[in-house]
Amino acid sequence: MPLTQSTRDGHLLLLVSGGFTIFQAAEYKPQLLGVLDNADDVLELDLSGCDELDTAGLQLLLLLRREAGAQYKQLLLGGVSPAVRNVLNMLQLQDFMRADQTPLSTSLQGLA
Amino acid sequence: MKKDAARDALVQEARELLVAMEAALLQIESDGASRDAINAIFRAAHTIKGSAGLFAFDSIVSFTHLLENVLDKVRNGIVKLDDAMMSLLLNCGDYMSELVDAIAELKEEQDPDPIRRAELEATLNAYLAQVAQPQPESAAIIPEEVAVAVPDATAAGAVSNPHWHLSLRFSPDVLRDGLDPLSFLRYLLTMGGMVYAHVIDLAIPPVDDMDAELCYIGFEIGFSSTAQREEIESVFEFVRDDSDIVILAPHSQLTDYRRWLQGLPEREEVALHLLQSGALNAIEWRQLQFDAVDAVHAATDPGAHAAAASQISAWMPATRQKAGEEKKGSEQKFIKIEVSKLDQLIDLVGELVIAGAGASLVAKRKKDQRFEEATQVISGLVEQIRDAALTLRMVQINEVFQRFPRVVRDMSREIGKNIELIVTGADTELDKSMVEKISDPLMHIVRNALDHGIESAEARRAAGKPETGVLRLNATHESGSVVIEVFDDGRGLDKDRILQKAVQQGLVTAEAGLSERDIFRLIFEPGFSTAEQVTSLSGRGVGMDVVKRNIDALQGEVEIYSNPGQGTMVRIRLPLTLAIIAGFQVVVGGAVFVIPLDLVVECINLSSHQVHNNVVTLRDEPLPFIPLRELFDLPQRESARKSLVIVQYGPLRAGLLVDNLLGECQAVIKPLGKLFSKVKGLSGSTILGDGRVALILDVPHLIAHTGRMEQANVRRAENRMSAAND
Repeated sequence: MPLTQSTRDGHLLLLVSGGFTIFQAAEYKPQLLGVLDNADDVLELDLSGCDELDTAGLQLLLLLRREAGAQYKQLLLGGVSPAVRNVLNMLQLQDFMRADQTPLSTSLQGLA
Repeated sequence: MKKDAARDALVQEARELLVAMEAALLQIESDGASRDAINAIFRAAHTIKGSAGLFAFDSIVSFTHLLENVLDKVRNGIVKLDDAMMSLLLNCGDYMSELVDAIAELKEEQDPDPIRRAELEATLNAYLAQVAQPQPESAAIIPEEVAVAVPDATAAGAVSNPHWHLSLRFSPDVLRDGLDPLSFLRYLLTMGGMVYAHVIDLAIPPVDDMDAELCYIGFEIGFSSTAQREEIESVFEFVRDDSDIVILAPHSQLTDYRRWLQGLPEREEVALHLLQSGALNAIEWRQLQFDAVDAVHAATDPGAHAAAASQISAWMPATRQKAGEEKKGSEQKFIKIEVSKLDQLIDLVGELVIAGAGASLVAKRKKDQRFEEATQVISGLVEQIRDAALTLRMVQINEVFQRFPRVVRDMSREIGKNIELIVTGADTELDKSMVEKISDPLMHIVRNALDHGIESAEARRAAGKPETGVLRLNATHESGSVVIEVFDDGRGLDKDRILQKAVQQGLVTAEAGLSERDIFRLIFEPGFSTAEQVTSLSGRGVGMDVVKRNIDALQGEVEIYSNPGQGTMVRIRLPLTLAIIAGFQVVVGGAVFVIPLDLVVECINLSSHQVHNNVVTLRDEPLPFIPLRELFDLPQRESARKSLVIVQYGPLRAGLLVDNLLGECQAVIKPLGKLFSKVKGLSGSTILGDGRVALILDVPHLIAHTGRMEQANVRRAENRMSAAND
């Protein structure tokens, strides 16, 4: 099973293994959102078994992050595979899904 | 699935480009270096790199990148295009086609030939190192120019950002088209470094409306590179025209930034990001905000707003439009179609032909004149559709011939002979499937001719021939078939030696009294060709049995003509197509047979001619014929007059004795079942308009059969004569 659900430290943990690409996107979208709905406060994603991430996969991660924010839930990124880290580094998304979900704009207002 | 289609397209395109590259190289070799040819090579390498980069086929990208660097030096005249360089470039082309083949076989992870790659890379790098001296000069010029340009530009309202800014919004369908924007970025990174990157995800719609297979996200990227605008633009060449790709050069005008931002739905977030990443400094940024406020004010004036809007739209798609036009230019001439779709069309046309024949039969029986006329018009159109559909499958034989300049070049160097290749009739068309299958046998024949046919320069001089040997490839259409000839002006075949060896190997007996043609035909015997010492003596025949078998499989024929000391010609004759033919129906003993119409010369009434022993005297010339009724052992039917259909295949003619002539028809060839594969004299079957099955006669085989009968008759006659003499 490419998507495996379990718990870690009392919160929901979702393991994504194999590809996370356009080929899985349509199938994963409702499943990912479903898991998020079931999560209490925190959902942790573990992508250490994910060997390919493309734009479609990344887009789903971004959607999930937005939804988590809207539901006042925390989305954590537990582990990343080299393939995923590559993408996140390239797009300078290393801070993606860190604990604090403060919108960027608040920190920028001072500068403006 | 989509990804595979894109992969196929890439492979096909790369192969075409490699062919173009090789052709350009060979042209340079024969006609000297020309700017066009060098540019063509450069373009080919560049485009392959570009498309391979989109799919992250890194192995091909890195290699092509190196090649491109060297080519660039060649183009700028820094590196000379000498013999060694030509060979190197040809070699690189070969290695690239290996890489492309690997991609086609889904084995791109694995280097097909690591040793070759290492060698080539070493040589390429050596060229680059060699020109390292002049390089700093050219490298030094550019920063200087920039340095000079900057203060001026800043004065004129340019931003201080020394990097490119790329704003990328892809078409929603980009993912479904099998392209991944991330791979564009990865490829972009081969040309420079990313200074900042920002993913714009504001366009992702609410959960329920979001289609996971559409692309909603965009990218704002700061990019540091010495590449030219065209090179950066070319990265995105493959994105569909409805993507928004805006490329702002280093030190662009602030007004350019403003115009671009105004066209963006997510302008505020992007503007903030520009500030945060340092693309714009605080002064520039504030200036931009003021302008934005101005724009808002201006928006209250509808006239000004409209002007601004049109300005944006006029400015934004300009580059895209250009790319679209260029593409159109090449698209107008050809469209690519999957072969399977074409086959399906031809199948359907075949069914249409059969159904049409059925309809005309009904019309004839009804004796309704108007109905008959209507079906006649329809069958005329069906015939045209059939012809048009079949020509779709036709390709120029040049597809095969174009490989040979390279083969001749390489081989003549390898074996140290001067050989000139003359190609004629390369525009002769034949069925696509044949072109693919004739390629290998033809290659074999050409190699044989080069290796064993044409003598060394010394031997040629001694024989009083010009030192440069000539190899000629020719293709023509001839009575319903395609003839391909490979001619060399070499030493020719040694008839006696071939016969001697064949006798030694027990293929024939010494007293068989074979004609010259039969002796040459021995070369195609399997037992003959495998013997090593024979080939070293006679100089011919390695694997010629395989050649013969391949050509037989295409319903073709191969013949050898040779004159000692003057040369050898191998002539291959292939049928034009394997799908639908115009046929001629005849009746023999109650059964209907179809003869390919192209091969029918004339029909005569046998009773009015002199007949003796299955040979008819026609216009004072003897013509052998076959009584089909006896051949197929069909029941005797009372028939007042017998007709003779005279057929011709190549130079040979023969008659076929039949009971009745029915006339022309369209025959969709259906292969005979396995059970009948051993039956000689029949090449297939077809379904008639009334639903009956008719067999198609294998005319070439029948003609050969008369030849054998004739020989048997002659021998019998000789025996009788000698018996009488005794």
